[in-house]
Parts: sequence; structure tokens; C-alpha cells
Amino acid sequence: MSVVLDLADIQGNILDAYPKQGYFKGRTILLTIGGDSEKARAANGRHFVTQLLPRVTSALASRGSGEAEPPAIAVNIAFTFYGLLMLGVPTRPLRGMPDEFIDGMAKRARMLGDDFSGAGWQSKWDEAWQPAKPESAVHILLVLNQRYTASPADLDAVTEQIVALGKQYHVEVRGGHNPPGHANQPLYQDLTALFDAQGRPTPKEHFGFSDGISDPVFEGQYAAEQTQAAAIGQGAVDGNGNWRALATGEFLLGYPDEAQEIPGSAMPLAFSRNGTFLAYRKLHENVASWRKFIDDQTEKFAAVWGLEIDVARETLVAKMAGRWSDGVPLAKAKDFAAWQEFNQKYPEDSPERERQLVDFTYRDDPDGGKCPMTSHTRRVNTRDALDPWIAAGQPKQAAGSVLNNRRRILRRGLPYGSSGPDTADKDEHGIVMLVVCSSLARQFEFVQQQWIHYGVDARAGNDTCPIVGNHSQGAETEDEYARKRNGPKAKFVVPSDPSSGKPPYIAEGLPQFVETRGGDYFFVPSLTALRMIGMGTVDPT
Amino acid sequence: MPTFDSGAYFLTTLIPIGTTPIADDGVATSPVHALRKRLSLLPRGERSPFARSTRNHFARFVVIDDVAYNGREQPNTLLVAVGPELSIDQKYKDMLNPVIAQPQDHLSCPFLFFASDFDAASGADAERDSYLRELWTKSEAELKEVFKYCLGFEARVTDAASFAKYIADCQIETTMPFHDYWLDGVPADQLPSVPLKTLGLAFAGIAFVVFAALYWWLFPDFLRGLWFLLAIAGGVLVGGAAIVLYILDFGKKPFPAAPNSTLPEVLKALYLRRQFTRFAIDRQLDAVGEDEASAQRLYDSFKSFIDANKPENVAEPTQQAGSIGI
Repeated sequence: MSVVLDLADIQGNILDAYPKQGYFKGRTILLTIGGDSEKARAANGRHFVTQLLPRVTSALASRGSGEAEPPAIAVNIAFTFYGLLMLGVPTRPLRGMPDEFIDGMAKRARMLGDDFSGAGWQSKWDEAWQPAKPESAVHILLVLNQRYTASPADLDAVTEQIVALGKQYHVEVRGGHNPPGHANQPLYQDLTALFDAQGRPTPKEHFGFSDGISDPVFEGQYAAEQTQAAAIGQGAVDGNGNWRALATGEFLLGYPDEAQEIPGSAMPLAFSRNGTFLAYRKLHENVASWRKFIDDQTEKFAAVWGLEIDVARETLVAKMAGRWSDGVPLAKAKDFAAWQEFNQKYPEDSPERERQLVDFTYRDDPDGGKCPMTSHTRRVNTRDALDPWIAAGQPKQAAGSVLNNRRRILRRGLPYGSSGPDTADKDEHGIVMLVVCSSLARQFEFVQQQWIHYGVDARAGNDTCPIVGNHSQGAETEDEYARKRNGPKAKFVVPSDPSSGKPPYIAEGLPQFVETRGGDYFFVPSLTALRMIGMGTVDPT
Repeated sequence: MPTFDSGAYFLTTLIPIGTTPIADDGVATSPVHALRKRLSLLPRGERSPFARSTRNHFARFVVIDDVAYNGREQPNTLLVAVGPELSIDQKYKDMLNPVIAQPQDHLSCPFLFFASDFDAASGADAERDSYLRELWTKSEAELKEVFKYCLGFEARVTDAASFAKYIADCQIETTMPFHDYWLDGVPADQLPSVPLKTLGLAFAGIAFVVFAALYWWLFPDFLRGLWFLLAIAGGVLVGGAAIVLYILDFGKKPFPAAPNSTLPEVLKALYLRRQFTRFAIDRQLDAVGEDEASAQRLYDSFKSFIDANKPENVAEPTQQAGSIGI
């Protein structure tokens, strides 16, 4: 018997990504629970949670249950550690919370690489994410998502209702979604998918990549009969290329995980079960720097590899990402011609395409001749690339994705802002990344620290991820703290297929393409836990 | 002898730490307490006292306060199943009684664990002593700050030779060395040689015994058979012992040193790799040029690279010992 999840108990945007359910726009609202005393704050917060509860969208609702359509505006809620403390959650569950959640994201900045810009790194975060005392910090995260059937007015209406509800109980909006000193400080963070010229939503982000293709599949996520097919290319793969869904416990608390055990979580179990953790990361994209860098490098790359300019541009960008700009994996189409061929064979609307985009391994590309080991997608989802037995030359014992299975994350969230042809780095645009996993330390933080910011597992020395990694400017770095911390100028090596006779290409001097502008770690409770928090019955003793 | 392997000497020592209270900056404290503080203040990286040795790959200090208590000793479950009353051993009976506290093992004093691995040609004691003497000569002040809390150090150690003797007296056998420079494994022809003759003889002896046994089994004669069984048992014992001794002997033979694995060579390799990366980035356009001029530029720049970085000269220019990472 495989895991059967109670969809009514799990919040939306965990099992399914809202954008894939037709929610192309959204808004995040940060709240602080006010009150004159500890007791008053707890009471205020609980009233708010209890009254909001009927509006909170479950996985059942977002899939549309029976005759009922999915809600036009989905509402979801999560709490920081201090949020739970203000709500009067008892000591027992609080001390059962993981260290990184109690720390919060800002305290983990050095390990995450968020202190990259220099000693005053946090002053460059948005106003809303500036350091604050526990009582006035961010306590609650609300994520509103707008379905394609709804209008911006609907989103505003729901926002107003919830904000009005909060006001009744001194639960105040913590606004300011721009860095300090910026003239415009919006109360909310608006999110939107990028739309094409015909007004259709696309899976693109501001650099021009199709995003969100890889998405872990785990047991219970889909009906049992659909799980196996969905797991191909998205779950865990063994040494013989057989795929299976990942363990539920990697993404939801209270279930066995990939270590074949139920990991410890905050007690009582009903408080944790069907809940999970979320990292909110507002990632600003320096689109102008990106475009300029690609322009500059394309010329040199074309000369070194003897490619036409257009081919060189697409190839360089693909080598950095691990996928061509439309999402076709390099592992399946190693050069420009193969990419064209792939698209002829599996055109945009063909039924096979979706699976072809994910169904691959790195078994036959150990040196990255096709897909560089340092490319973004190969770093963050290593698939079977780190198989220790393959590296040791013992393919009979191949263990597949075993070193990757405990490092998977669900990526939810949407881009924000716009980036026209004349856009500048300082314009507001990027991604609000919502990382969902059951252990932020083991999954999200590990990937961020070890695979994005170190090059060791990619056999690339100090090279970081060419797209989202930190890119040192070497001796030219102005900030002294950053200069000492960050090392020599960042580079990216495009390995070549030895049979091509071409040398590898080394791109040096990558600018910082992505900057963290704020965020925190949140607990996403189940509907049951929300009720318990609201009623103040988490610990009935 | 795993104390020496792959061209490296693996020194492991356990040095008793004093227990008589001392004054540390005017505050009464225990030697182990003061030692921990000193260790945490020991400079790292290029400023580490161990970076002054060009033989030292790795060094580690650990304070061992006590042995960990591993819980109650558990009785043999088979005997428990048979019935504890069968046992006549009172200690064993006590073990079954959770009310009776079991004795615990503890150390009489804390120990300083000092381990180090350094380049050596043969693993001879003289090589260890020369390493320790060099360490003393180059870092006497820092070493004194650490070892002065150890028993007998101040009374016994006055110079490099007495320091080497003091450490050597506290040496224990290294049973599991770690060496990482045979990147692709040791080639078969460089493994410690197998004296096939010995191995062959042992097998031949066993084969003969087995053959004889079969012969006597097929043509039984009770009395002769009894004596012969004893002879066979002796033969098997000797043959088996020969094999075991041989295996142990083989296991003790050190692997050869990996090529270019002394510290100066490793440092030079790291240095060259970094310099060559710089060269490759700067010259990649010339490298793919097909005209005379770019070929000449590549040739000239590579010559300058060689002249400047002297790959054949291990001593310089090179990366400073103790410098880690970028």
C-alpha cells in the first residue's frame, strides 16, 4: 500500500505548483502580530488565524474537488519562529523545531552566501526584511495566488478583506518591498508570470530561461496509478535507469523519508504532520548585466569554438544553464543542430515533449562534454551524476541518484517585475523563490552551499554556479569584507567534447547576476495544525 | 607497519596531561583547561607553526578528557535464554541485576592526542626524530605553549633532541593511516611484491597433506590412520600458520610513495595549476588561431610562462605551505 495523503489537510502550492494549476499571478503579504502584552499578542494572533482558516486553500481545493472549481484567489499561510512564539505555541513544539528555522534566514547568511555583497549586506535587503526586534519582525507570510479566471480587482478585494481582518486584531502589514531609501515602498510583493506578445503566460524568467521544468515527484503526490509515470525523470533513479517516486517524508513532515525513517519533528505529531518548511527568497536578477555579459562573451566563444554568432550565443547560454533556453536538456541535445532536431521531433504541443524534457540521466556524460558539471541544472539536481560506483569504475554496483535523493526541493513561487529591452539592473525584477522541503538544512541549505557556491562536487575547484552563484570581482571588489571573503574573479569553464578537437572555453569575470533582496524561513502548518494554533490547543496537557 | 605508508610517516602520540592545578594568567585552573585555550589560539593557515615545516602534510591536536561510558555491559542473550540460574559466576549474575551498578572505566588523567603525517623515505625512527627536531627548531615557542601542560615536559625537554625523545616515548602504533595521493589507485606492478615461492610452497604442502589423507582414507588401516590423522592435523596447522603469517607480513609492507607526492611537489603542483589557469584564460584565443602570428604569440607566451614559473624547479616559485584554498 502506498502513501495516501489527506489532501484536505495539506496546504496548496506544496503538492502542485500553483502556476501549473492556472495561477499566473500572486502577491505575498508579510504580517506582524501586535498587542500590548505577550498574552494579548497571542490572543490577537490566534483570533486572526482562526478566522482566516476557512479561507486557507488546501491541496484538495486547489485541485478542484468534485463540482467545485479551484478558488479564484488561493490563500496560504506560514509562520516564522517568532510568529509561532508570538502565537503562544508551547515550548515543547517550539524546541522541537530545527535549528535553521529558529535561526531564520538572515542568521544563515554566511553559509548561504547571502553576505556576499559585503559587511552591510543586509542593508541592501528590502525595507520589509530589515532586522527587527522579535515583536516587530515578520511573523506571518500570506501567499495569495490569482487564478486565470480572476482579475486583479479580485486579488485586491481579497487582500483588503484579509488586511481588514488583521487590523481588527492588531495584525499589521509589514510593507516595504524595495531596498531602504527607495521612493516606492509597496505594502505587498506582487508576483507575475511573464506573458508573451500574445498575452499568454509563459514559464520564462527574466534571463529568458524556461523555469520550473524539473520538479520532484514523491509518493502520495498523485494518485497511485499516475505516480510511476510521473516519477520518470523527476523522482529517484537506480543504477539501471529505473525511476521511482521519492519518499513523502522529503517534502512533508510525519512520513518516512529517503533514509527509510520518520525524521524527528516538533511534537505533538499532529502539529507537524502534513506540514512542511518554506524558504522565501526574493532573488533580484541583474538582467542588463546578464545581457551585456552574454553579448561580450559570445564573440570570444564564437571565435574559440568556431561557431556562428547566433549559434554561439545560444550554446553559451545553454552550457551555463544545462538546458537550452526553451528547456530542452543538453543531456538530450548536446549541440545547436541536435537542439533543432529535438524540437522538430518533439514540437511544443507534442504529447511526448514534457517527458522528453525530464527523462534523462548523466550516466553517459561523466565529464560534462554534453552538459557541463558546473551548469546550473546539473548542480542543483545532480540526478545520477555523483554515483560513487560509476566514478569508481564499478558500473555493476551503480547506485543512481542515491546522493541526490535527500537534496531535492520543491520550487514554488513566481517572477516579479518586468524587464523590457532597455531595462537596467536597478529596475525591479527577479523571482520570489519559494523553496519547499521538510528539512531546510539538509535540502535547501545543502544545495545552496555545497552545490551552488562550491565547485568540489562538480570537480570545478572554486567555481560557483554560473547563473545563480556568487561571482567574485576579485581584486576589483570595493568592499573590504567582500574582497577578503570572495576570492579571485569568477570564471566558468565550458568543457569540450574531446572528439570535437576544440579546446575548453573559459569565460572569466562573471558579474553578479542574482542578488538576494530578503526573505526568511517559514513553517507551513497543516490545516489541522492551523486549527490547533488558532484554538491554542497545540499541547493539550 | 602502517606507521609508514606511501612515502609518509603517520605519527600518532598520546601524551598525558598534568592534573595538578596551575595558575594561568593569575587564575587558578587545571592544565587541561589552560591547554584547550592555548590550542584554540594556535595560529592557522600560513601562520601555523606546522606550516614552517616543508614535510608536514597534516597535523592535529585533540584533547581526550576521558573514555566515553558506553552503557551497561550486556549479558550473553543465549545464556539468558537458557536460564540465568545455570551460571555459577556471581559477576555474571550481577550483570543481570539492574539494581547493581556496574563498574565504569575512566582515565587517570586527560591525554593530548597529537597526530601528524609528513614525508619520509623509509619510516625509520631517525626520520621521525629529524622531523620533530626540525619542528622544534622552527616553532619552539608555539610548541612550548602547548606541550608545557603535559606531564614531565618541562622537566625533560630542553632542546630539539629531548623534544624528539619525549614525543617518541609517547608514540603509539598507527593502525589506520590515510593517504590520498594515489589518485587512481596503486598500479599493480608497484604493489608490494609477492614472494610467490613462499606462497607456492605453502600451497604445495597443503596439497600433499590432502592428497595423503585421501590416499589413507581410501586404503584404511586403523592404527596407522590414527597416527596419520595427527600428522595431517600438524601439517595443516603449520601450512595455515604459514599463510596467516605471510598475509600479515604482506599487509605490513608499505605501499610505494605516489609520484610527486611530497609536500614541496604538491605545493608546486597547486601553484602551477593556478598559474596555468591564468595562462589558459589569457591565451585561449591564440590557442585556436590558425595563423602564423597567433601561433608565434602562443609560443612566446608559453615560453614566458615556463620562464616565470619554472615547472622543473620544485622549490620556487611555489605556493606557501599552510595556505589553503584561494
